[in-house]
Amino acid sequence: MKKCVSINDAVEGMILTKPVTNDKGMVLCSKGTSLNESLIKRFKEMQISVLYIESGIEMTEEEFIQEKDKIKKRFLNIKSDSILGKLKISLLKNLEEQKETNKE
Amino acid sequence: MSTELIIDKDSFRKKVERLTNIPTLPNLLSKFTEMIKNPKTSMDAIGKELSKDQVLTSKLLKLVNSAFYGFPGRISTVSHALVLLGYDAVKGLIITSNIFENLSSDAFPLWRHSIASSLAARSIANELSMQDVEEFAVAGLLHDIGKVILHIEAPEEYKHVIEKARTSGRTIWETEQEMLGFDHANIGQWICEKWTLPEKLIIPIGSHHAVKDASGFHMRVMVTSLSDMMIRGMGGGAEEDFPLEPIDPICEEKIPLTQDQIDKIAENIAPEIGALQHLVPEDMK
Repeated sequence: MKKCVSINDAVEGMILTKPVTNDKGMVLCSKGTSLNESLIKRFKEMQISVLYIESGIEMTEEEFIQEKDKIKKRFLNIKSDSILGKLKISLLKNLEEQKETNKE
Repeated sequence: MSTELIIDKDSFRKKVERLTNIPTLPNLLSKFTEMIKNPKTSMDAIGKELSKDQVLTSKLLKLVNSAFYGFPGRISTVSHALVLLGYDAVKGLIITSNIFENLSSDAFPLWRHSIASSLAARSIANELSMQDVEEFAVAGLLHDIGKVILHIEAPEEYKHVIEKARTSGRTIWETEQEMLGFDHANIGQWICEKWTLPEKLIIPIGSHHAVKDASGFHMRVMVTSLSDMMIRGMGGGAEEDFPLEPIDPICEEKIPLTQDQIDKIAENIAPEIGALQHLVPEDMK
């Protein structure tokens, strides 16, 4: 499962699930890279604050459904063609993606 | 059901205006405001004057440099903060760093919601190519300052309000209106007027639940309201399990964000919301 950690909690061996980019969107380190001490140090110097990593924990079908329900409940009164409706689509898409990472 | 007035509006407003829990603030802010008014005073001079207050300086720099606020490790002096963020944003940040310090642990979700909303406001303002993006961020940060005041000054009554909202299925601000005769946005407005913040911050804070009624700075009001809603939608609300209410139709018209833009904003903020979940105010260093 994809997880986000603060750079201060990053440790050697964590696997990036998203490329690390600088302010301008330039890729500094690609997806799938295994972190080591010198990389972490470099990210800190470059003021990267958060990293997406593989958590090693699988999202169970049950957790997936629970998360999905939570989102649906929050957006109960929101029409799908509104700004907040778009946000709901975005969140559900992200959740699906997180689950997909499991299968890779 | 009859409305239950548990706090007298006038006496509460007076209480808010006295605000005993943040004693050093008004003094310092009025000095700051005076200095800004004088066009001959340089930013550097203001920075130096503010830096004399060591406690304030350290709190301000801690907040802006925290991994969460958006400038991790990048701002080293008050003068630098002034140049980078502008006077009004710095003024708002001084208030934030002072007021959130005295919160009890049950208000931590509110603290997290405020930080997350400021990230969202910055991200939306950037996406809309607004100027003074940092002022949007500070409005997001301070939008629920009225709730903070309620937590500090009337904690028991406020719990009552939240509970009532939960059971009645109404929004929190409607329930505040119903039970108190005013809501947290009004309180936010009073306190910001008291602190002589500029209208471009006062109005978004005071109108974030009544977008249509705002007397000016409409874009800022809408972005503040939207950032609050987006964060709640992403599970970063101060009180869980309250379904979102639809956003004012005027926002749909004036903020025509595409699905791609919303995806980008959500992607920007989602990791921070995750990381914020366990944050307590002392972590802001």
